[in-house]
Amino acid sequence: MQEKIIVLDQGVDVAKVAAMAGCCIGRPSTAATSSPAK
Amino acid sequence: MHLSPFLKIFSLPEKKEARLLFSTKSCALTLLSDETLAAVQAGKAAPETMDTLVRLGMVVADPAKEQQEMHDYLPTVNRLNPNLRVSVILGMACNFACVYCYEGSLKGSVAMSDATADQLIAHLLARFAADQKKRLILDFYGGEPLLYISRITSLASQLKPAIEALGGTFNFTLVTNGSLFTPVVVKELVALGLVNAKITIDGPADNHDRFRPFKGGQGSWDAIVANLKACRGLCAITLSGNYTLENHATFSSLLDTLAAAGFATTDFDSVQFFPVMQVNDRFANPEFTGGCCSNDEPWVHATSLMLREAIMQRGYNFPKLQPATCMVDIDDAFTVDHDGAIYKCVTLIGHPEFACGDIWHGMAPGWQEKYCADHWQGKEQCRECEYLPLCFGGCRYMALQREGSMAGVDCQKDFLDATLEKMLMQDLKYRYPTK
Repeated sequence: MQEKIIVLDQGVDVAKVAAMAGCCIGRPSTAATSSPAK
Repeated sequence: MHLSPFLKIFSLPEKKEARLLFSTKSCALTLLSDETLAAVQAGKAAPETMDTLVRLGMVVADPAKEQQEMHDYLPTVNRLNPNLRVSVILGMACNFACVYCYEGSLKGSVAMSDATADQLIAHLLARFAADQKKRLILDFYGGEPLLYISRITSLASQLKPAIEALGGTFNFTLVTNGSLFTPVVVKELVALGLVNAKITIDGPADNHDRFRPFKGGQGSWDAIVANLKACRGLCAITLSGNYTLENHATFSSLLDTLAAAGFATTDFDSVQFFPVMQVNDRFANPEFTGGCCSNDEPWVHATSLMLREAIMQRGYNFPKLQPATCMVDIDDAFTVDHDGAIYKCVTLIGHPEFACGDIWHGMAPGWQEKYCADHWQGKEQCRECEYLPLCFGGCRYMALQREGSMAGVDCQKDFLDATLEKMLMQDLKYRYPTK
């Protein structure tokens, strides 16, 4: 049987998360959630 | 081998024989046939299939060990973090009078002095060298940071060569209202390391001008849109907007207005709208209502999905899901106020009870208790939550505004239960339409 797997997104590893870490307001948010507005 | 505890599996309405797999830990996304999924669960899948799923974090040898690794995730982030990332509040002057601004009455004429700026440079260089960092990133805030253009250029023109002499890279971003964001300014700043500007437009002109007027009351929409048009392509621009319970339905029309005005989707690095947080703070405008106190308010679920769809449908880039870290959790990220005080969140400047030290003496002992660092570690609901990597206890500032304390976590489970599957279906439709 031919197994079928389609990888749509490789995701991110912890090193990539580390490279993006910082303030939540100055960078794009991860989800559609609220952040303090200014 | 076992399915990861951080794996979510969803059915597809239009592909009955397939499943969508999403890892909340890696945010990897795959499509798998029912037969293959059954083979994986039975331990009978082909080695190459298992290898792929292991690589994506969807299948693990030991689920208990993976859960333990997740508890160590943030220390690992800190160990691997190549950056020193600092939010800098240059001063509290602002030429806008946004009705919901959390800085509220904190705004005024105070600004960073020359002596404080000199010490900031010394502090950053010492810390960069001591921690053997690769990149210094400053996020300039205010007030309105472009009212402090000479301070920005002074800091950047000293830090850039100094960091490069240490073998590192220097960059900075702006969180600006956009009214002073002109080509002359942007070109000068890009040469000094500007890589991104986040600019806020609150929907169509009439709504925006009501919520984000100049201090004198005049509308600011025309000025911002003209600046955006003139600065396209000069640096990455993140377009943001803050909506309320009453006005969220108008926001998608902004995207059509921008298209009609000649903007391309590629003119913006990303577009994202946020519900305004209802701030219960001594500085905030007491007359403002219509924000949310929690992401669990049903209108927030529905509107965040609706606006995400509107953005993606029109071809704009909406940031991908990724594990969420908070400045509190990141050793080499902090906020420096205009007076040199250090905080672990930009929203808490002006609250001396949340100061963590200063740029003359460094971090003071005990700051972790003030910010309830690692608060989620003590909660069983978090330790065993499949959404932990997307949340890590949520937003401490929102918990503080809602409950008067950061001690309780700002749980995102209900929000993600209500929205994650729908967000992934949007991704499937707009990010990966050929699949």
